[in-house]
Amino acid sequence: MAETPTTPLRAEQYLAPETLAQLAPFELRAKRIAEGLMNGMHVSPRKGSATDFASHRQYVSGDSIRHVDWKVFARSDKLQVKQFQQETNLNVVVLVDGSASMQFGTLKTKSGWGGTKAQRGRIVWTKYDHATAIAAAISFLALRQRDQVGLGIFADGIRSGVRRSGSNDHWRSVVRCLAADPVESAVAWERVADQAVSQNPHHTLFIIISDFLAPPAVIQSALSRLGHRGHDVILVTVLDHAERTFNMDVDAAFVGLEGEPQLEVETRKIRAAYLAELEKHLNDMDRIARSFRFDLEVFDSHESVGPILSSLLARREAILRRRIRG
Amino acid sequence: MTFASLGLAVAAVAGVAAPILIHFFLRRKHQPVEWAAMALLKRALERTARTRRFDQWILLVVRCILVLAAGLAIAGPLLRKSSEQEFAVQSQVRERAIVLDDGVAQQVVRGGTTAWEDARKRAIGVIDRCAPGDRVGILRGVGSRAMVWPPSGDLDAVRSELMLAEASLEGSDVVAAARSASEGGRDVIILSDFRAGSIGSDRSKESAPTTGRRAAAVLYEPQSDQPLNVQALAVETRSSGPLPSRDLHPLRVRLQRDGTSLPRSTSTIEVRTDGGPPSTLRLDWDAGQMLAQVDGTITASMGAQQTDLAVEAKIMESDGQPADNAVYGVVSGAGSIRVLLVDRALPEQSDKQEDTAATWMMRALTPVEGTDITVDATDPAALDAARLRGVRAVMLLRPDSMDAAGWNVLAQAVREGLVVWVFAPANRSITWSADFQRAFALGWVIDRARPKPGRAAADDPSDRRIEAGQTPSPLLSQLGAELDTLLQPVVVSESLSVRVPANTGEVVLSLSDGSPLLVHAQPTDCRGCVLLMSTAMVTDWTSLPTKPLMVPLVQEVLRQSLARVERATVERIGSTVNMPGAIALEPTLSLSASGLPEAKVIPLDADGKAAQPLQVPGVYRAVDARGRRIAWLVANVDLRSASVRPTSSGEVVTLFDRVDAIIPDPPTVERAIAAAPGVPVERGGETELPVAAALDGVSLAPWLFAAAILALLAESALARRASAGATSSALRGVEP
Repeated sequence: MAETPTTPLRAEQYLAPETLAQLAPFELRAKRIAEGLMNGMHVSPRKGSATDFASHRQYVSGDSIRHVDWKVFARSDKLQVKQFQQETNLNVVVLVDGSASMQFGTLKTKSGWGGTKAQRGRIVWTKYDHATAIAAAISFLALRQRDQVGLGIFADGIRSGVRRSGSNDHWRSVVRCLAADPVESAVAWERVADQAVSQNPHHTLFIIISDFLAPPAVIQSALSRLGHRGHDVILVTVLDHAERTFNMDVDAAFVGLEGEPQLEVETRKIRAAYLAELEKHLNDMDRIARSFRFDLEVFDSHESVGPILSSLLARREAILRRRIRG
Repeated sequence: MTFASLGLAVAAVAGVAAPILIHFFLRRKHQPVEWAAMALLKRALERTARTRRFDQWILLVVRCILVLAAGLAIAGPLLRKSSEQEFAVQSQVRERAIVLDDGVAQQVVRGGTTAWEDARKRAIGVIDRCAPGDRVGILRGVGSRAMVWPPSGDLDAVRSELMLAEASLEGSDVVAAARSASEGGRDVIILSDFRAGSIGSDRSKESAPTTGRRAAAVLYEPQSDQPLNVQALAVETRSSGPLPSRDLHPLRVRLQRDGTSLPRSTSTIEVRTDGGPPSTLRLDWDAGQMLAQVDGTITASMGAQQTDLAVEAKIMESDGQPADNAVYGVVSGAGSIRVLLVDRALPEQSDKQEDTAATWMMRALTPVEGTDITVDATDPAALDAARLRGVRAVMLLRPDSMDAAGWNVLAQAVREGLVVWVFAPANRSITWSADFQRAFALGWVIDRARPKPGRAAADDPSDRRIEAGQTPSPLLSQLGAELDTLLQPVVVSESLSVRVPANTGEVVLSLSDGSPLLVHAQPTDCRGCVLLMSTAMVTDWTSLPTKPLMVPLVQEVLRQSLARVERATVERIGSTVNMPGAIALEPTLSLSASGLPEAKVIPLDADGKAAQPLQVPGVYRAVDARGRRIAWLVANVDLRSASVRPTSSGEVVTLFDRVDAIIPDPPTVERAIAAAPGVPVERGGETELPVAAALDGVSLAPWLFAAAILALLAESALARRASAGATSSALRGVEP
């Protein structure tokens, strides 16, 4: 049975993975993340009215005549449509990596915890668990702020998803979709990018949550498709603590989750080289992200989700201000 | 360098194979672990491949060094090139004594050379490594005799003396020699195989005084091999019946085998005399057989007065100890047996037609023509030494007619090997018994028995018969199963009362009342023997002369008694001769071999003593001032001293006050064992030598232990070096 905390928790506490793992069912977990985060924010960027006037634009066929500014029509004999701030909210599409490599995790959880995948018979908190928790929380926050949120879970393509919407009950659809298990295949990045672009022709903020363990060139190629269409992208890299530190003292046969050949490894002897390779990979990813003016955040699945969500919200505000300015 | 435990050192070297085997053959089977970042892992492996391979080799080398250093350290290494060299590098001028075992046991052959030659080479090696100014003395193991003594600083002269030294066939006692050499606190190097024959008796150990300052002794490790050795134990007279030729002489050679394995084999024995061609005997050994004897004859022409033959029996096959392959002896020549019949009424001189004792005895001694027994007769009053020349047995039928001088002549002749057979006189006199007792000092009590005149012996129901013992005397063993049948009809009606105290003689035949009929004894210090028949050889006393027993009884008792006579004085090589009356010993037959001095005439002093001990095995004639042979002397190698039975280090160490080092053979691989003085460690019933650092050597164990510890640290560092990398700065954890 899930354990529900009986005493109020600080935001940092219940945004920690151990806390998240105890928050079952899944919806409750996501709400707590978002509420905890909101409570931690002192000033909400969405305190004002959603109906404040922002600008005019020319009427096009299909526009509701309710928004036609008749006063302007009377003065200039032109049909202009009033635009309000509410209508400048973001289109947010969260893309969650559901490939086999996301099934990796080393944070042990107790029986009954909310981990989604058992690895070798043990309940563990996987990178996918962490990614879905982040995605659910982001979705919740975005919907609360009247953004339109879409979701896609990808691997060798976007396998499942939820169309973009801003309705109040849309969040439950997002959560149901996130509850699906990851698949056993690897990520086909370019295909996923093409699908995402085709499904979202308008300016969209893509939040891609993945471990990004593919070759940087492949990822760069995929991101270029998004960047060239003018989309904003935030890359959320989720890595397990063991992957980040490689602080193991075992001689083992490492088996790839995506079908890679087995490797005999003495961890002590290659730890330095592994960490160097990881650093190089992350540097490459950072360089790619900067080249497209994208943001990159590295996220440890054993650590709190709070900072990254705060970062995301700040990023969202920056995008909004940039658009309003024009 | 040497080791206290060579076995451990070898094990350490062999142990180096362990990490190599583990490295190549016992690679651990890894547990599978699922992992996501396989691409990074693969690139990391490719990046570190050369380094890891190099690290593995370095690690393997360090682990081998670790095992080797630890093993060698435990084995107790000592920095000393050899004991001889160690002696040489001492800056201090020292005085050293070498005990060179030149005893007969050192004649053992191993590896194509004798132990004596090896010991001599080592002794020269020790001298070669002495520092200038050192003084070296050499004592022989045989009799602790000096070769170079006191120690001399003229090392060239000492070396020359060693080069000229010859081996000896005498028994050695290296323990006694070492004690003599160690007086004054000298360092003693003992060069010996330490075979059983070289250790000497326990008596020498007890009698040897221990010095106040215990001397350092260095031994070479006792040899552990025991080669097959066939020893010639004895060559002796063999009793036999008449032979087809008077020049044929029967003899018997006894042999013994010793060794780790006793296979089926054949020995060829060449028998040589001083008066005829050699003959060859063959003996087939069964597997495991240790003792054997082979009978044969040898052809030799003997003069009329000659009764003995000097004989050499030599094993022709080479074996582990050639020094004991030859044995010498004097055997009885079987050409004729001269018997002197002493009686007052000689057969041819008697007018009476009745059969006297002498008549019966003549018939018994020469029952047919052409026998090998020649009978002479003499009157008791005419008996003197001249009459006894060439005579091997005297049948004294009238002891009552002998005077004191006659008894003295007989006594002297018995000492030299004469057989005297005394019969009770028919006149029942016992006055002679006092002179008899005085001449031979046998302790028998002879008394007169009650006569039964005028009655036929067989008619008297109280007449006694001869009892046949359950085990016949060896003198009658040739008669075998027929003895009882022959004894049955014999009746003894009258006899002297003879009482034989215990251990004074052997009762060959006794009467039904228990009184002795025939008694045999070998008087003290006599090679001959005395026989006493308590009844007279006349029909008034007994029916024996008329019965079938008479001839075989007289013939067999006489021949077997002669066979028992020691024909010569037997001495061991190394003993000092004492033969009163003789002025010299002339070699008749002697061993000639390389490395042995040639047998020469040994002069004796007025007391019959030789100035030097016997050195050459052989048969010697002891001659008096007139050049006449008065005795034979046989000199043989002492078989105990020639024993090549190996001894252990523990046995040897217990013989010395203190042993500082035992140097293994070959000495290039040395180990030093210091034993507590006279107190070996007893463990599990066996003597064990405590292992310790050499007294004068530098122990390398601490350095090797330090090397092992350094190797251990290096191994730990190398094993963990790969895990010492820093966490990527880009990955510093995000605080919750």
